[in-house]
Amino acid sequence: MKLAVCAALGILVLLSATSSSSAYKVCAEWVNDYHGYLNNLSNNDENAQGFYNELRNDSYWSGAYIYGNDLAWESDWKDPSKNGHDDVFVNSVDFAFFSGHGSMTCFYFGTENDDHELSDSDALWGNKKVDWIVIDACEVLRDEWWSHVTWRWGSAFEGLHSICGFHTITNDVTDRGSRFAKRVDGTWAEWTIIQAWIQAAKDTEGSNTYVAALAADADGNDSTYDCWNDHIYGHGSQVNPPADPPFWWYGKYQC
Amino acid sequence: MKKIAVGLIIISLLMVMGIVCTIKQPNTEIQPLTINSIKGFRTTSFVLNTTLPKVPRKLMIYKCAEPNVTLEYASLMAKRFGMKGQPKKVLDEFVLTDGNNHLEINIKSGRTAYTDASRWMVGNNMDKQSNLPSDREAIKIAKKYLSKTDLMPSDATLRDITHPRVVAMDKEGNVIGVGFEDVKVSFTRKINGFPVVGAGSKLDVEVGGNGDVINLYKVWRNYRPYRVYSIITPEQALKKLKKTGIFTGIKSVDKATINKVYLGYYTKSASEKQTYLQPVYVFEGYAKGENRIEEFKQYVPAIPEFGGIK
Repeated sequence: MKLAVCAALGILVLLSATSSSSAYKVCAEWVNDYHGYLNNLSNNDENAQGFYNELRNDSYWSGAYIYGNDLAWESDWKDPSKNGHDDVFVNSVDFAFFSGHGSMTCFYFGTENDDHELSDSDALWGNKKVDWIVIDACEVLRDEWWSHVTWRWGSAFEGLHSICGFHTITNDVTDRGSRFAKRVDGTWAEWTIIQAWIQAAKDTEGSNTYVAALAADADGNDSTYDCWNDHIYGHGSQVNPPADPPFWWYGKYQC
Repeated sequence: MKKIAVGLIIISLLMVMGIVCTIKQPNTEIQPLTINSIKGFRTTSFVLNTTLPKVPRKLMIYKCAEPNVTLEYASLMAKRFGMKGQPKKVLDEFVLTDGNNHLEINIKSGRTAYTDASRWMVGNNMDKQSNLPSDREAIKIAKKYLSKTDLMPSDATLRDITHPRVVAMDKEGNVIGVGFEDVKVSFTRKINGFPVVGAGSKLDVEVGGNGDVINLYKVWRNYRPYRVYSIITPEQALKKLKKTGIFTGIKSVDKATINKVYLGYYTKSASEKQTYLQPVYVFEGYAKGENRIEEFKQYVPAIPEFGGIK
């Protein structure tokens, strides 16, 4: 009798451990082939896979999907209210990663599903699930006096914690994604998401590149740093921001 | 007549031999230098607004020394940073975390990165402008720290001082607070009188509140002369650039202007193995379009048979 109870308890413990161990979902999309719309790139597949495979192998995380080239769609990142379906893609996971072309106002896809450009006005992130987004592309987080980053991307924060990206143009490299993930999931370190992103950029870029990040404030107090200091789930603390953050934390760093 | 013909043949032969000698490079095991392409938008329409530099016909290629990063070396470095514990080799890094302090040494490049993870680029109440040393003091602190950790290269010269900041920004773009600031002291180097360019030549020391060093990043490969090679002319490099194009963040460039051309030695990033240091032409300038101006910097391998843009 005791043996049966012990066995049942053991199974229960195992089941709960399994269900909690991969509770968090990650996805990645990448584009190398722009079909003449923009110049083709070479390394975004390896870059995105490096991030995705590293994080999905963490005991707290599992992989939802990774789509590349023609399977990476702009509408995967767009809110249903804007004729997209991010509710079943990007906004159904906790962490999303994009690697491809970008500019100050958007990042780019190789096909027209439903168009090539995911602009700031298309995005409403975190209203369902997604907490963190990395956009490994040029200039999406560029901040200029004539176009502040909060003007463009502030409205995309609907519960989203932070976006990591670049202020300047960036290089087409293979290993930034994996080097980033290894510093958030404990393989090398358990740093904050933004620290890990900056260091991964520093490892892979020359000093004319500026890496950048934008994070939601939660409480309106500028002596607490809220989502800027987030760790990924399972590897440290994080703060839940409101749907309409009182302000944002922004930093750019010369690599 | 016969004499003239023989003379002409001899002259022709000598000329051909001369050309072959000039073009033919020494036999070596040199691997092609691959330079990562830029993710920006390509334009092939640009103008040259400077005179091309006078360059030597030949330049030395340097062989990089093996970084020789062993457990003993990593342990010694940990001691120098005042850290306890034994570094572990995880993939291409030796890593050690001791409390808030974190050390990584890359086995491919020898890159050393020391970080106080509780402070560097993290919002905190210590690293604020009011607690920072002056730039002049920060330089002294950085140099002293590099000497103490035996990481000060003899060929390092001061590049610049910057202040990385994390700011609180409202919807209108107004800065309404500062969450982090430090003083970053950066050094650079020259080889053979030419600047070292690319992602793999960095020495940064970041000094935070109370004058504490909260980050040190050094990738600085040792090298020795290898062999002398012929290089292409600036005109030939410019021709190659016209084929490759210039990359910027501006999708519709109205006008791109090159205003600086020089030779440099190209270094790969901290996560890449590099066997040789090869010369590249560096083209700098700015592009105009979409109501803005953006600077660019583009590399062209100076020994093209040993290099290209990936």
